Amino acid sequence: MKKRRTMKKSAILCLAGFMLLTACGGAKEANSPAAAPDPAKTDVDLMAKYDPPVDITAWRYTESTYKYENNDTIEDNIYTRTYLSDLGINLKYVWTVPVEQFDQKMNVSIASGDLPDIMWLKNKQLTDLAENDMLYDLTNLFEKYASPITKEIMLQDEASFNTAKIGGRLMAIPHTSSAVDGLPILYVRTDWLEKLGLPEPQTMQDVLAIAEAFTNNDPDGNGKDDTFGLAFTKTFLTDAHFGTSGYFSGYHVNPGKWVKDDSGQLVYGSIQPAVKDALKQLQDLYAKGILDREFGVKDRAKVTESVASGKVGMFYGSMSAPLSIIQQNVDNDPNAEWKALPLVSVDDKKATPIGKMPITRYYGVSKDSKHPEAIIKLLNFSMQGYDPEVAQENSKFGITDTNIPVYLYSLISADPAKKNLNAHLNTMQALETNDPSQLSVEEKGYYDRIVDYRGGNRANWGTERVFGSPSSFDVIDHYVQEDNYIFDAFYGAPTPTMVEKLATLEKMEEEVFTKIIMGQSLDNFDKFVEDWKKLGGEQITKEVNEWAEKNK
Amino acid sequence: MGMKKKLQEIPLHLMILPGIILTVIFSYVPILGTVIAFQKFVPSKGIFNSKWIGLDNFRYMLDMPNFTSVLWNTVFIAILKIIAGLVVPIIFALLLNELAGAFFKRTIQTIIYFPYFLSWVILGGILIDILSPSSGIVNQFLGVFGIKPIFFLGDDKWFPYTLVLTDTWKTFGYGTIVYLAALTGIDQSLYEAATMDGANRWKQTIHITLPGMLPIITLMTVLSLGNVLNAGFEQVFNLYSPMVYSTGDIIDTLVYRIGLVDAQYGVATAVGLFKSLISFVLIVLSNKLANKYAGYRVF
Repeated sequence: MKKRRTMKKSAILCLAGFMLLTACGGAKEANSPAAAPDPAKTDVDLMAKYDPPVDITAWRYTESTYKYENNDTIEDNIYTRTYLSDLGINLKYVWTVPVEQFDQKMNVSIASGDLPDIMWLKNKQLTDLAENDMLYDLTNLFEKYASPITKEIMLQDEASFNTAKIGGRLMAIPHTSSAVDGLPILYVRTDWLEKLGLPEPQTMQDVLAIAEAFTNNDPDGNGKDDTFGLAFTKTFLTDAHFGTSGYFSGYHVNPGKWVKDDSGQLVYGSIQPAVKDALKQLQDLYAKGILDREFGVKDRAKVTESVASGKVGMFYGSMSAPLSIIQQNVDNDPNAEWKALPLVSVDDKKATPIGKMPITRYYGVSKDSKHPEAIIKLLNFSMQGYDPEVAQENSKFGITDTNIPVYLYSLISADPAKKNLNAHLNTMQALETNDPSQLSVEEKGYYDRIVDYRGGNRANWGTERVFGSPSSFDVIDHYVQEDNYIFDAFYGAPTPTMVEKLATLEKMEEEVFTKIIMGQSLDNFDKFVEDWKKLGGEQITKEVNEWAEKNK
Repeated sequence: MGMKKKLQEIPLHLMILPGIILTVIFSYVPILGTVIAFQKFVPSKGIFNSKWIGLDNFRYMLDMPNFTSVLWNTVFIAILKIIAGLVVPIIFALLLNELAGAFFKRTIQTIIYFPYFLSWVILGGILIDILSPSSGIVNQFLGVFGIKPIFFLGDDKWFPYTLVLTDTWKTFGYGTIVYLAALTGIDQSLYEAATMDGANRWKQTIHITLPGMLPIITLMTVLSLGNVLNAGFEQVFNLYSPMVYSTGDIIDTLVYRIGLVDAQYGVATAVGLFKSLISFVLIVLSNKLANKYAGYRVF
């Protein structure tokens, strides 16, 4: 490829030469196929820097939380500049969209058939493209060229890694990360508990009683009836923050997820009989005004506003909530204090949190890409950050001194299976011994901010409550120590009937559950279960179990 | 002379060329894409190699358990919007026309025109707040008259009307301007003559103003009938929720979910095509009626 490039250049130079009426010997010869050996057949070092640099096209999403400094953009930042200077890769995004629009934009682009070299994909699109033979088979490239540290990190959780394999071939690089990070946690406003003289909740009954007290006993002391015990969004069935997953676990049911029943068969969690009891309870809470009466129209941004303005005392969220949600409340109210707690149960059986397979995106390479190996270069480059030998010089690729997480700009990334949990444990140990010297760059960042918080700066409250103690990772560590967590048992690509019917079924489920909570008869649940089975659910269950059989 | 005049007109005719080219590219070429409504469309195979399945996508569409209710919602919401979108601006234009002070008139015109420029994404967030049953300003106002709080966005009985009201509120400023323009075109001497004959303002409105506005009213009606199945994707998409699916889900939101979320392009196109065909029939029909009863035709 390198050669072809130079040839083109010399041809252009020659053309210019003709214009100047000078002779240009050899131009014709250089253009003939015989003089251009196939670069793939020659022994070139695929992992060396491209010289001259090559263009690699890609697409990706960004999130509204991304921050930039020095006029950087997602197209031009420390990563893109280093790709060019160190790897000879001139990265060009054909598009970047906010994550909310990613699915649509990706579907439209795939439908138009114009694929860039490297694509961020989800499971469904990965399967579609692979089945239509549009992806480059990365099996051999990964085997041969992935660096030892890359392989070590990516294969820590092999089951997750293998979701990127189709027919035994590696059709994409999976974005590995930690599954336990996604487990739900109960967050409670402890300054309100203190004010009302209530203990921390140990059971579901406690949660309900506290929710009632938070609603009726004026915990913020402003004399107005304007607080809610428990907060949910309108998409509560699927939301990681303000969702119901943690609540339903207290009743040992798992709507929206696939779980094994006693006979070992996979069943859909939304049609488990005990869901009815849990819904009944939510209905009561709603009737008593303990849930926001308008939760049905509010999205996450709206409910976050309620938390920030001190209207909410409890919710189920994931480990990042102290940073992404509660911090706003802490900034507004100098007395606000929250605590993360393990899920509670309605009976003497433990509540078991349920999570999802941690792979949320895949990096696929177009079959038409001229440089399929570039993805491995980018991957190896990203994984260097986990190599303690070179970690120090890589520090600039993590979080800047001004607190900007530049690592988010990386095109290709992957995380070790327990990275965040280990970061918490290591940071805690360093705090106890006052010795941060053993910490990784990322961990040192957490350490510094926690020390800052303990010195009185509430702006870093969120970091303490995620990575310090008491914190959300205390709770996750507790789950791991007790080995008390499960995962959604189905993580394959959508089955044929799912593609056709799932959207309708999910919409029906959302509608029925929401309406029951808002006061419709509980009998609608039984009708829902019947309809669900009839309208494709039975067939989907069959397909899911066939998948499970194949992937044992 | 005739020849010379024709030659002079050539540049004028050339001026519509860019418009024609753009219309062909963006309105006619995409029509070819509707063939995927009859295919089991696979993006990687493209239009030419996807499997031909006849009317299966349409059959699938009609079999969908919620299709009839979605169709009904669309027609119901769209018709209410058309009626409100015609009546409210006419009344408002007539009232504004009676106002004396030019400054005051223009100020009002500007104020009612303003919401037209806000996107539904922004309005969605604002409306949740102002229509809130517990703290929203609208319900507080209704409370003054002893009316119990109404959950406009969360009650499926109220939701279609909320859509119509908020849409009318957003767009009636635009229509008002059109009708005000029509009003200035009415011959003032007619009013003078009517005053001489002793007609009061009301009689003048009935016998001069409204007949004078009739052509433009007919035009606006015919044009809006083509929208009878456009209940307003952006608006519904930003305001609906599981609570109001039963009365708020419309064809366009359904196409969005089938096509862009589930990537079933064939079915989505079939639904979209179905909608276009009905719209086409309706606009032809309304044009015929307008011609018959008001002597007006668009084509």
